[in-house]
Amino acid sequence: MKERIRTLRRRWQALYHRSSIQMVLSLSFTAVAVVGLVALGLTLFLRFSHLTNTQMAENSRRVLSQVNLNLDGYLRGMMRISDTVYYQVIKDTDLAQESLVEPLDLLYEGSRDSLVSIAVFSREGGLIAATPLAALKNSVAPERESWFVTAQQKIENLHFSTPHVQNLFEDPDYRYRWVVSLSRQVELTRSGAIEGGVLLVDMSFGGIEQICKDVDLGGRQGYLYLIDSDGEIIYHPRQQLIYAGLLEENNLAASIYRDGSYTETFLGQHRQVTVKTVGYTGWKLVAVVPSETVWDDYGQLIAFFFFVVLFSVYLLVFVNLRLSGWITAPVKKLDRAVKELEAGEEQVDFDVGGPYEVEHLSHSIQSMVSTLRHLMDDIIQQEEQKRRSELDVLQSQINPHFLYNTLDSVVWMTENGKTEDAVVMLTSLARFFRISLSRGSSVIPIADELEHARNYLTIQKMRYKNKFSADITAEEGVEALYTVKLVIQPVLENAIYHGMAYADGDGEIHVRAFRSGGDVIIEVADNGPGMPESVVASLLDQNGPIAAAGAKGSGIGFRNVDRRLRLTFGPSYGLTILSEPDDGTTVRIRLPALSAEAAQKYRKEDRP
Amino acid sequence: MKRKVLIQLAVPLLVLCALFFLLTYPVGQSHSRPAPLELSVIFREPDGDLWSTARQGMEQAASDLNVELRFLLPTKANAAEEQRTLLSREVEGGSGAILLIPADRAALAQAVSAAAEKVPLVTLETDMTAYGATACVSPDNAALGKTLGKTVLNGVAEGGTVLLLCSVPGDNGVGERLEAAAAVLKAAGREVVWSTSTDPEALTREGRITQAKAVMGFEASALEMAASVENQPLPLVYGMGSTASIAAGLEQSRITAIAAQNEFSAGYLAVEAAVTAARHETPRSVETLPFSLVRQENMYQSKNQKLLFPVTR
Repeated sequence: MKERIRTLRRRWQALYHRSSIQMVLSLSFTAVAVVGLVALGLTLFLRFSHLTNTQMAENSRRVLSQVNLNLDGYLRGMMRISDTVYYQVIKDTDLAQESLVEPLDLLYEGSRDSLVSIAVFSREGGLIAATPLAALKNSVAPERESWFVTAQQKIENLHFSTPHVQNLFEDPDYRYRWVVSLSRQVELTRSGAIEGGVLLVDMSFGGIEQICKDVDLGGRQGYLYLIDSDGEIIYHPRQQLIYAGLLEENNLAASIYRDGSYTETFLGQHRQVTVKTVGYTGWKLVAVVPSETVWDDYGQLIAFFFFVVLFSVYLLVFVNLRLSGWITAPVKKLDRAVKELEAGEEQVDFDVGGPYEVEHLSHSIQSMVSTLRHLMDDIIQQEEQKRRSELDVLQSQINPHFLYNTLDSVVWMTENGKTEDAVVMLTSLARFFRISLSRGSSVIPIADELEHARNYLTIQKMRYKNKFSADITAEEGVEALYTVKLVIQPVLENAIYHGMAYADGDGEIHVRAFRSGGDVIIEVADNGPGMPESVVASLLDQNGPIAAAGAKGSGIGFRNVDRRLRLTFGPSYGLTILSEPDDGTTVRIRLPALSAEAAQKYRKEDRP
Repeated sequence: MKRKVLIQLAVPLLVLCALFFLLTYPVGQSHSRPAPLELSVIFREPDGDLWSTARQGMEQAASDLNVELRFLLPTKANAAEEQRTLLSREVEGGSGAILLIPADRAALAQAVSAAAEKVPLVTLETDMTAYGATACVSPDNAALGKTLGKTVLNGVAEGGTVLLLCSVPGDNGVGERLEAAAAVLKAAGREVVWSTSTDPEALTREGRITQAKAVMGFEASALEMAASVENQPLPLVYGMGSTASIAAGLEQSRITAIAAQNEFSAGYLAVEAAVTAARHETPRSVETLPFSLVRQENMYQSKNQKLLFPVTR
C-alpha cells in the first residue's frame, strides 16, 4: 500500500514537473471550481428533492383532505337522510294506522341520484316498507344479511357496509347495482307499542366513485383508493381488475397505517403512500404516488443538473485556460528571454510586462545581466591591460649592458681616432633604438625587425672585432608581413654571447625568414658550441630558475620572446630550439603570417 | 478572436448542446403513452349484450394500453362465413390487431391463417393457435364441460335424460364443452340428447325438453334460452354465462348452477395479448382462465358477486 502511494506520489511529481505553469494553474482552478460546483449542485439537488418529496406528500395530504371533506359531506348527507327517515317519518308513524311508503317515496325522490333504495324491516327481517322497489325476492332473508345483523348488534350506531350488490328486491329489469348500505336499528311504533326494526339506506356506489375518481395527485400514475377499516376495498380506480385478479393492491397493509405519509415497496415498485381516515366510518382514503412519477421529474432535473455541470466545466476549462494563459504570458516571455540570453543573444528584450512581481523580476534579471556584462567587460579590459603591462615589462627587459658597452666602444673608438667606425656604430645604434621604439607600436613589419637585427649585428660585430660573420635573408614577400617587435635581437644576443664569444673569426650566424604554410618562420642558426638537451629544455621553461638581471646566458631573452609570442598569438606560436653539443644551435621563431590589415587588430590592442 | 479560440469555444458548445438533447429527449419520452393502435373485435353473435362484461374488460384494456377498439357484430349468430368476410376486410383495412370469437374453427381456419400472417390475431373461447393465431383466452373447455357434466349427475338419476343445447354448430370451444359433458354423462349412464334449436318455443315444440330431466347450454344465449322455457315441470338447467338474466335465473331457481368465468378478465387479457403482440412486447403469460360453479345459494358470496356483477362505471 505504502509502495503504491509512493509510486503515485512519484508519478504525480513527475507529471507536475513536466507540466507548464499554465497547465498547473488551469487544472488547479478547474479542479477546485468543479469540486465546488458539484458540491453545491448536489446540495441543491438533495435539498430540492427533499423539498419535492415534502411538497408531494403535502399535495397528497391536501388532496386527501379535500376528498375526505367531500366524502364526509356525502356520507353525512346519507346519514341525514337516515336521520330524517327515522326521526321525522318512522318516529311519527304508527304502523298500525299509517304506511311508511309514501313519505319514503318522497324522501327517495329528493335524493334519487345518490340513493338506490330505502327500506324498513321489522326486528325479524320482515319488510315493512321500501322504495322505489317494494317486492322482496323470495330467495332473500334480510335477517341474515350482515348489515341487518350489525345494526341489531350495535343499536346506537349507524353502520356503513362495504360495497355489495343490492339483491333484496325484485327488479323486472334484472338490474344488479353495487351499493353501500347504511343501516341502523330503529324503534317502530305499532298500535302505540314500540318494537325494534332496522332502517336500510342503500347509497349508490356511483356517488362515492364520483367523489374519488379523477383526483389529481400530481402525475398520471398517481391515484387514490378507499378502504374500510379491515382493508376491504370500497373504491379503487381499477377495482374490477383487482376483483378479476389481474391487479393487486396493498390495501391490507394500508389498513394498518395511521394518518400520514409513508414510503413503501409493493410488487417491486417504490411509492409514496398518504393515508387519511374518513371520520365516523373508519374508512381510509389512500393516495398512492409511484416513485417513478417523482423520478420522472428528478430524471429531468438530474439531466439538467448534469448538463449544467458539464457546461460549467467546459466554460471553466475554457476560461481557466485563457486566464492562466494571460497570467503566465509574462512569465513565459521572461523564460524565453532567459533562454535567448543563454543561447548568446546580445539584444534580448526583457520588457515582458505583467503584474508587479513579474515585472520586478524581469527588471532585476535585466539589471543583473547588464551588471554581469559590465563586470565581464571590466575583467576583459583588466586582463588586456595586465597582458599589455606584462608585454611592456618584457620588452623593457632588453639588456641595458648592451647600451653601456656600445657607448663605451664608441668612446674608445673616438679616443683612438677611429672616428668613422664610431660614426658607423653610433648610426647603427640610433637606427636600432628608432626601430626599438617604433612610435610605441608593438607590431612592426618583418622588414623593420630584420633591419633592427641587422643594426644589432653591425654593432656587435664591431664590438667583437669581426669574430663572426652574419647574414640576413628573407623570402620574397615575407618582409611585408608583420611581427611582434624585438623577437630576433634577444635570440641573436644569446647566439653571440654563447656561440660567438670564443670564436676566432670563423663564427657564423644566419638569419633567415620564410613562410611555412600560413605561418612565418624566422630562423637564427649559429655554429657555436651548441647545448645539451637538458639546457635546451630549461631555456624555455617559464618556471625555470632566473639568473640575475644582466647576467650573460641566463636564457631570459628566450623565455621573454617565447612568452610574448604566446600571449599575443596563442599557444601554437613561439620559439623552438634545436641544438646539439658541438653542432651549433638553431632557434626558430614561429609567427602567424600577418598582413598589414590583420596586424591592425594587434595594433589596436596597443592603444591604451 | 483567433480561429483556434473559436474552435475551442464552438466545437465543445455544439457537443454539449447535442448531449443536452440526448439527455433530455429520452427522459421526457420515458413514460409517454405508446402510439394508438386500432384493434378490431369480431363477435360471434349479433347481440352484444351477451358479451357486455367481456366488452367492459376490453374497454378497460383499451384505455390502459391506448387502443382504439372497433366492435364488429355479425348480422347472424354463429355465421362463420360472415366472420371470414369481416376478418379479411379488417386485415385489408389496416387493423393493427384482431380479436376473434370464432364460430367454426374449420370454416375459419384458412382465413385465420392468412390474417395471422399479417396482424396479431387472438381468439376468445375457441383455440386457433394451431392455425397461426397468436393466443387464445379461454377456460379449459373440456375441463369445464366435464365439471359441469359431473354436477348434472347429482340432479339426474341414472338413466335420466339430459338435453344438450348445441347452439353454436361447428367445431368450436362451445362444442368442446358439450362433447366433454356428454362423455361424462354417457359414461355415468345418462341418456344424452342434442338440440340445435335457438328458439325456446321451438324447443318446447320439439318435445325433447319435456323428456329431459336436465338441460345444458354452454354459452350465454343457449343458457338464457333454456332458462326462459315455460315448461312444467321445469327441468334442471345448467350452463355457462354471466349475464344479468342468467343471474336472475339463478335467483329465481330457473337455473340450477352455472360455470362462471371472469368475463371481464377474458376481455381484458384478450386485448392485452393482441396489443403486446402487435407492439412486440413481452406478453403476460396467458394460462387457461379459471372458472367457478355458482348456484343460487352462493351467488352473493363476495367472490361470486365480483365474478357475476362487474363494478360498473
